[in-house]
Amino acid sequence: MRGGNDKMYLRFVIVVLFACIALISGCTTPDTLMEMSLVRGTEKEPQTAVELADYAGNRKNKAGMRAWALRSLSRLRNVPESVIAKVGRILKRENENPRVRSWAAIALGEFHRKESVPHYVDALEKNLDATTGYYILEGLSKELSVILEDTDLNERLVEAMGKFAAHQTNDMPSMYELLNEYVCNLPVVVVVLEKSLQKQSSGKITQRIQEEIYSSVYRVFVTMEMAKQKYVAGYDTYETTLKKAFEVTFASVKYRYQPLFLLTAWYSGVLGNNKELSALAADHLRSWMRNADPRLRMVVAWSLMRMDVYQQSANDSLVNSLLKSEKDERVLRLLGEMSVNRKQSDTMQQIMRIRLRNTEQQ
Amino acid sequence: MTLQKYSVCILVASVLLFGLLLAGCGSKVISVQKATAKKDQTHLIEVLTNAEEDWLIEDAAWGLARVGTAKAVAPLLAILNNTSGSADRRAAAAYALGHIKDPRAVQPLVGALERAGNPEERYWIVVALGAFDDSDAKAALESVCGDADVMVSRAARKGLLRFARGER
Repeated sequence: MRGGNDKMYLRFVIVVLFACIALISGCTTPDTLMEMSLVRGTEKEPQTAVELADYAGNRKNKAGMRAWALRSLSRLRNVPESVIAKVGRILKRENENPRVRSWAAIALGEFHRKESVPHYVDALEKNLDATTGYYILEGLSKELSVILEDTDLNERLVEAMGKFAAHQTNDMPSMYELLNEYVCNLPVVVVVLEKSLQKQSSGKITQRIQEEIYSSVYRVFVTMEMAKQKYVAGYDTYETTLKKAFEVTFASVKYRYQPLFLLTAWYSGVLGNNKELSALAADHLRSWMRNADPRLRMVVAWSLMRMDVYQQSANDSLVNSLLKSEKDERVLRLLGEMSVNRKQSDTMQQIMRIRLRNTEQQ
Repeated sequence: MTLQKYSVCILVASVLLFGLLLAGCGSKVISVQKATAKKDQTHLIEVLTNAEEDWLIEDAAWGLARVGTAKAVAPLLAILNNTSGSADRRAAAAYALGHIKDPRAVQPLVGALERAGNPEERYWIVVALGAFDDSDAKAALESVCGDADVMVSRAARKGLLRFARGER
């Protein structure tokens, strides 16, 4: 009987020993994961990349360790396309751990592969934390040449960046401006806005959609403003695009989102103090003169005043539509107080083409 | 001693061995991160000087960027000037030197910028040079304003802008 107990103990000890060995050999630590990247430049590199991507993609593993796996993976260069797809999937999971997602974005950037770009674009359209968003933008900035060569991809990216911007509550990172500088040009942003309006025309208009459209309209105006002198000077060359731009931006207000009205009215004034661009905006603004919101009427009045000397239609609108019916004293005061130089007629007098005694007509 | 007692000893020994091995698994990378959190510059410099793995050296340099003082400059310069080391190591060292802002780092950074071929390494050197109020740093930034890599040229322009505004 005693001999039987001894054997049992012996068996137990052996089992424990094996269990210890098995546990230790299977012990995955940040160091063991990082050491896997030492295969960089060897024939084992692609296979190791697959193993690391599988480990990172397996949600049964701890989030911290999966982040280390992605960091290790980011050190590899010769990675199969399937690995890029796996890392892209991690990045696109909206319910993924933010740290894992950030490292997925970093890893995709470190691969320096054009196959990463569509994953970035898809991810930008989803809910993102600010850190992951930053690394996506950083990764995209490494692939600018690839993006600029592919019009469709460029348009998709501009669209996605608009959505990303619309969903952010913090200030946009400077990386966003850098990308914008390169990927946004007027034809692209106009096409993106147009597509966005077409896409939304049938569905239910939520505030999120309105904000996305606002972001796209804003980008069209900013793009025009940044190169305003170029567009005015070379108007004949850019006429079609500019006409389209104003047409589409004014069409966007059908979403009845008041900030969109204000934005469009404001930028029409900013851009419209010249003959060329005022011709494209003045008529559109005319119909807003009787809007119930005095803020909008005030911005419209300001914009039309800037267009007044270049466009007869702007003057007609101010005289016939605004002044004859405007009762809000704030709007009227704006018109009356625009000029503070005693030797000049004030804005109201300029609009009414009234020449003061002893005063040169402006 | 009976076999039972032997087996208990073996069991205890194996558990101890397991514990020791597990302690051996104590992560080096985590220790670097902990050293940064504890502002343990000495440990970070030790890793920077003795570690062989790129990622440990990078992490130590990034840690020194946060907690390093003039004491860390010499080992960081050794990494920056080591042309046989990886570009990632040099980039991390440049980043740390830009944060420590010791004037001794300017000339080595200018030299490293002239040698650097890797865009990311150049980027971090340019970012570091942008932190110094120094005419040589300014000249080096001006020389890369038209760099083919947009990140590098942008970082150089930002550095010069800060220089012009006196934001140092």
